[in-house]
Amino acid sequence: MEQNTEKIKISFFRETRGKILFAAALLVLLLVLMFFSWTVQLELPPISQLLFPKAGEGDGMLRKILMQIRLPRIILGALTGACLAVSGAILQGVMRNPLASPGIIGVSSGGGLCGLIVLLFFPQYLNLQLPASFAGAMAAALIIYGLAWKRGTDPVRLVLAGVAVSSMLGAVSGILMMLSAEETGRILDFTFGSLAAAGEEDVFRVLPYMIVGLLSAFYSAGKINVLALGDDTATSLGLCVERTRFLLIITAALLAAAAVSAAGLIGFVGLIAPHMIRMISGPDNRYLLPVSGAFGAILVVGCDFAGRMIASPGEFPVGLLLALLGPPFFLWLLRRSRYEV
Amino acid sequence: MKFELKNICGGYGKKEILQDISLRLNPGEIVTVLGSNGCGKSTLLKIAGRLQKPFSGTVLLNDQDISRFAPGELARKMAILPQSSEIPEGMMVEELIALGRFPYRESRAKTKEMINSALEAMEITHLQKRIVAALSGGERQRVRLAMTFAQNPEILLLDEPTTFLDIKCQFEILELIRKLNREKQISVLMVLHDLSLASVYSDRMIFLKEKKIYCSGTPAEVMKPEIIRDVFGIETQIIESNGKLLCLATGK
Repeated sequence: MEQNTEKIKISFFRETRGKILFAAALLVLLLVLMFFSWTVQLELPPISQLLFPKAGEGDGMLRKILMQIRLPRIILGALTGACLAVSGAILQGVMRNPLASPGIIGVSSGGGLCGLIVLLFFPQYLNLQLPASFAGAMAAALIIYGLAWKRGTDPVRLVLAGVAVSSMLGAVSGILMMLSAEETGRILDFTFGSLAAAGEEDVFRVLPYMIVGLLSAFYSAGKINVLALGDDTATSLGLCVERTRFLLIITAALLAAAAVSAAGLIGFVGLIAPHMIRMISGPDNRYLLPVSGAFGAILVVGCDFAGRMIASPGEFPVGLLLALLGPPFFLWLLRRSRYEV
Repeated sequence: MKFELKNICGGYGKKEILQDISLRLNPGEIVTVLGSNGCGKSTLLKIAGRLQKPFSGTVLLNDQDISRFAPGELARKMAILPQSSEIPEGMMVEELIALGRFPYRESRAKTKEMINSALEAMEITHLQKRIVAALSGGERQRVRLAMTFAQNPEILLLDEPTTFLDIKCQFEILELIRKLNREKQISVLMVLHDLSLASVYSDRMIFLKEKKIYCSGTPAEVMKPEIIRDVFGIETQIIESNGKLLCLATGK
């Protein structure tokens, strides 16, 4: 039998050793990026002095920048990126559709609309923006799920319902923005996705949702593998298809909602991060979910960092840079890999 | 292991396409369901595998209603190979077969062992690290069959396992199914289109017509031109070759 050696050769990154190495490399890269983003452009005193300042010594301003301004921002950036990427990976698996992402299926636009409403009409309650975006995103997810239901859900109907709802919610957001041109700056930050306003309290507010979402996603990753084989095969393997699909969509919505409410509409990460990891390490969701989470974190932290460097002393919103820098990298990888969706 | 369908009525939406179907799969038997397109063969198989609920009637496994089994429990006893399934891009053969162990909670070593024995049983050990989507139709069907085999079922339900395959692969797949049946005592209920293949590989054949079982029996009992004329509306010649009954369609 003639055998095509080119096809038999499995990339090093598909082997267990390669996978572990790759994940470790990403983690190191993330930590390095976070550290640079944290300390860049500052003259740091010795670390011991930072951690245990003696009375009357140390620079109060420096501490404030590091601990109260930059640290929350970086942590929130990393978490947001991870949540969006994991959310996208779940949705792509559950909907069996490579185009599914929190942005496309309406979860983001639901959160975006509610966040915008608070921003524009209830600026005195700005601390409610986060819970409002969260509620909006979850509501959008439930509406889409309900609309797609017809004696059970079907991945194609879910995606189409999501695109339709997303488009409508986006249009409503657009109308609201047209009507309030004077607020442009903050609206832009929100709609492009920005970490500029991130504070300590934001981290603590979204952290529980993010952790619950991420953990339950990682726990269910094996089920996504089974679900990806189609409803009939998944059922015959003993998976409760409808229940699993519902729980996974809610988990994805929870993650996206937390991300949107923390950093506005950062697009693209949820779509491309999982694909990039899949191209390199294959479709096993037990590996894909955590690793694309790390990669999403790298993308967001990296682009936030770049956005601050390029436009210093001002800054570009992270979402803008992501949408600008992400695609070329993504397309390069797409051309290189044998990946066919 | 006893498997029995009792007074099954079923269909899609409100449309009834199966009426009062009862059948029994004896231990170690290969039974094939045949009938013209749209006669409800696949629906029958789906109801038997609990992929679809019947309007009425029960499916009994060891005298227990399968609707009462926990999903995982049923999956450890019964495996279903749908006509087609989605295979994620880039998935390797061993990864796909490993999913057959989803109903089991077990160590990695045990999973590995089961994958290897499934690869061996399907004679595809050399394909272990290949990408499933890049395989030929025959190879892919073996891989899918290996996944259901890894599930370690007592009953295997197959929906047209030879569709999309060339003539050689059709025989190879059915040989493998018979090997599983004989060597591992897995009972098989399958749907086939090809009368000759069904006759060669089945212990019993069941013909469906107009929502009901038209007749059933061993190939020798049911491979008759008048039965085939009634069920399919075509004229045939039945040829005997090496003790096998083959069907040659001669048109209307």
